[in-house]
Amino acid sequence: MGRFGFVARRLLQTIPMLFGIVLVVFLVLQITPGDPARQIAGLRASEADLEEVRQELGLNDPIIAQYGRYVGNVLQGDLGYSYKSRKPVADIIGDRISVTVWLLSTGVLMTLLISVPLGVIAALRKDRMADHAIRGFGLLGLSMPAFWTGVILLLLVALPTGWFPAGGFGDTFGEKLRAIFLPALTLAIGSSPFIIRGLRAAMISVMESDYISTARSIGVAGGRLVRRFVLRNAAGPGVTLVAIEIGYLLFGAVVIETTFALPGVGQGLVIAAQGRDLPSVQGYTLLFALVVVAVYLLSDIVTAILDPRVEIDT
Amino acid sequence: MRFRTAIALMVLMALLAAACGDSSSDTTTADTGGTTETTVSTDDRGDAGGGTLTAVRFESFDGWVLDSAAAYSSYQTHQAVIEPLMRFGADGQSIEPGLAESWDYDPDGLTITFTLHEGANFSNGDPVTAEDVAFSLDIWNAGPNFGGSWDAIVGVTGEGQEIVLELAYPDNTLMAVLASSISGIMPKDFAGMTEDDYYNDPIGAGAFVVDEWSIGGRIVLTPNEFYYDPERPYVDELILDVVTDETERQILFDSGEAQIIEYLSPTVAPQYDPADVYVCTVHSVEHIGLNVLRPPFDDPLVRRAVAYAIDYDAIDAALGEYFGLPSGILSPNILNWAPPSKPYFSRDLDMANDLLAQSSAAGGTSAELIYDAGNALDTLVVQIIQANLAEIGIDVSLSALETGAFLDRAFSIDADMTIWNYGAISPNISDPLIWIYATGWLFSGQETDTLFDQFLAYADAATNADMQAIITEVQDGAIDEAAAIAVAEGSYLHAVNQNLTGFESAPWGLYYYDTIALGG
Repeated sequence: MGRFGFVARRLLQTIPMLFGIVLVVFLVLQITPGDPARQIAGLRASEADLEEVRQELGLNDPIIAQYGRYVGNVLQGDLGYSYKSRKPVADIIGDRISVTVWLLSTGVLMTLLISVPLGVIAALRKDRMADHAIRGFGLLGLSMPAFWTGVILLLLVALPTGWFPAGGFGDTFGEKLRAIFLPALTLAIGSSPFIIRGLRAAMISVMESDYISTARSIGVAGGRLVRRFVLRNAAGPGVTLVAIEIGYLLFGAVVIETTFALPGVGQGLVIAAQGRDLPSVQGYTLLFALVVVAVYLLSDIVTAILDPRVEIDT
Repeated sequence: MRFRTAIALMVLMALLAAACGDSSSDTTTADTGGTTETTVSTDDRGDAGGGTLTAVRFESFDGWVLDSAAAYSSYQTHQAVIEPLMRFGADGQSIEPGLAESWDYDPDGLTITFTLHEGANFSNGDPVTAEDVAFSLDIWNAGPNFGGSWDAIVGVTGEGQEIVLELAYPDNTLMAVLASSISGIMPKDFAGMTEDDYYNDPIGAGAFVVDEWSIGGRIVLTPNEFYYDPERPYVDELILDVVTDETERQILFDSGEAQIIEYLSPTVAPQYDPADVYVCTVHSVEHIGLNVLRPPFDDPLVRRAVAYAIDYDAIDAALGEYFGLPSGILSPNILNWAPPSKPYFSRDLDMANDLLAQSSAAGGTSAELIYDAGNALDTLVVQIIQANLAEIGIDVSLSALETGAFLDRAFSIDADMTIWNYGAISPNISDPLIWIYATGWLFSGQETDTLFDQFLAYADAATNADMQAIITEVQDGAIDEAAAIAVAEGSYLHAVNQNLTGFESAPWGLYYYDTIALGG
């Protein structure tokens, strides 16, 4: 079957995984304390009004029936209606997702711009001053929680210079770029150390392999050796690391969007949870899970394309 | 080289964007060494007009269904778009013109005639009529939360600017209800829209119209060009943002990107410039509820022992300058409030020990105290109460709950003890009475029939003195029963940019956006 078979098999494996995710999302919120009927009807509603809401939403039905209904709706792209706004949850998520896409894509770009050069330098200058300095930077980045980094950037950069807004997301391209710069940098500072460390280790491993010695012996050296032989072969683990990082970045977005008041899905999840808007929380959770599954799947496919050994291993 | 180029390009683009700024904005801010100056463009809405006013709140909006409002942010937003016939005064006691410029009661109190402002129009240009008021009344009455508040009204008639409400009986509470945001006037038949469409794109006769909104997201309001007062609102745009992080709220305020932070937490207020902190008149009541439906608090002696064991001075000291000692169980500084005729509880350990010794819990007992873990003040106060009650042999276990879980157990009277804080939304003491009734006497489970009778008597009382006598009776009853015990009274706070003019808040923290101008 080769690499095509590998990709097809991975796609098939995601189907039961997705059903499992939907089940977990459904069950976790079923056991969450709190009466959704009171959330909808209001704090002053009578027991009769609450019962009417429960009947209307089918909250008195057996759990299995509610789950079946939920799965059926999800399969049709219907994530339910917000308890608060009466709007479709899919629309609410749709309104916010572009901000998070901006944040993640800029964050990933910055992460790569920071981590790839530093990872390469650290590997090429192994155990020398540059390597120690880069690893020290990595340690620093890892030890600073994102919310703290964000606040520090706001206080030390945004407020004194006025170059970047202290929060929110703009309307024009320029405003958006300004608004997203510091949040994305915060993400990148937190995630770069993982990539730097992974890329450094992968490159060192590749550089110690026989085929690199062979390449050197036939006169391949310098940038050509790094680009064509070392980086290409170290890219597989790197892609997997980036995919894992995107998963982390997504959850990091919850913190970053809250810190920088960015109206993305991360902030939406926090506000929905605070407001006990359970259908929205379910929708956001499902989205996060799906994105992580999709990114991992994509990384497996990219790795399979980049690395011919994948079909042998599987 | 290419990496370096890419990094440089990225930084350059961001800096360029930063340097370009937003040419479409009417408001610019400039740091002038500690203070922020706001430069505002003007338009045809008066000399002080123009600019974007940004207010930031921590709680999310509940949507446009008036009856579903639970958060103060919702009451605050509703009244800006779906304006009621009247407004409340900032003193918390007066009622001022809203859509109606005047009103008259007939001598028997069974008819109220409102005269609308000339040019009182909905944002679609249609004039406000008696039919719209009648339609709105039907919607209000159907609400599961506040539906009973307009029971006295049996008919709405009138022509032109005149609206006549016919009452089945005189009701002293009605005017305050009509001045609150739950009585916003909506166009008849939702102006031809479906109910869902209307609540997605509401039309009101308020000073603002909805430009964009979402639950938990940004709400942008712009001036209603058909508003009866051509001078108001004084701003070109009103932005209402939800920011859940306290630090970020303060950074937005300090940077000048937000001019108002609504409902500032007393725990972070000291971090603001005192001149920026607007302190509302004392109004909120921090209270505990003792479950009278089961031991140990089914015994009034145990409840009174608790009341005398609490160290109110310690709580006062812990809560800081914006709180003080309680004067009674009802929110003060509101129309017809009256104090109890007897001294309110104060700490008396000997009395507490004596009462407990005579009670069914002699020798000691235990109880669970549930609280909202997200409320920093409650978290502080419960620890003081736990220590206080340990001194008389009551072992209190603290249960920190998520807000929804707390409310579920509190409303179900499913905890020995609860702690909560409440205020009003309209200028009459009848409003807190309704809340106390709806919560089963502040989550204590104490019978509410007596309170309901007192409420009816209040609504029907002939004079203010009669009403205040009833309120004193309610306050005294609360002391006698000791089922709900006030432990502190406090002020709601807002952070308000000193360059704003026209900002005035009622004691319960609500205010009107259309009276505010930037840059005064």
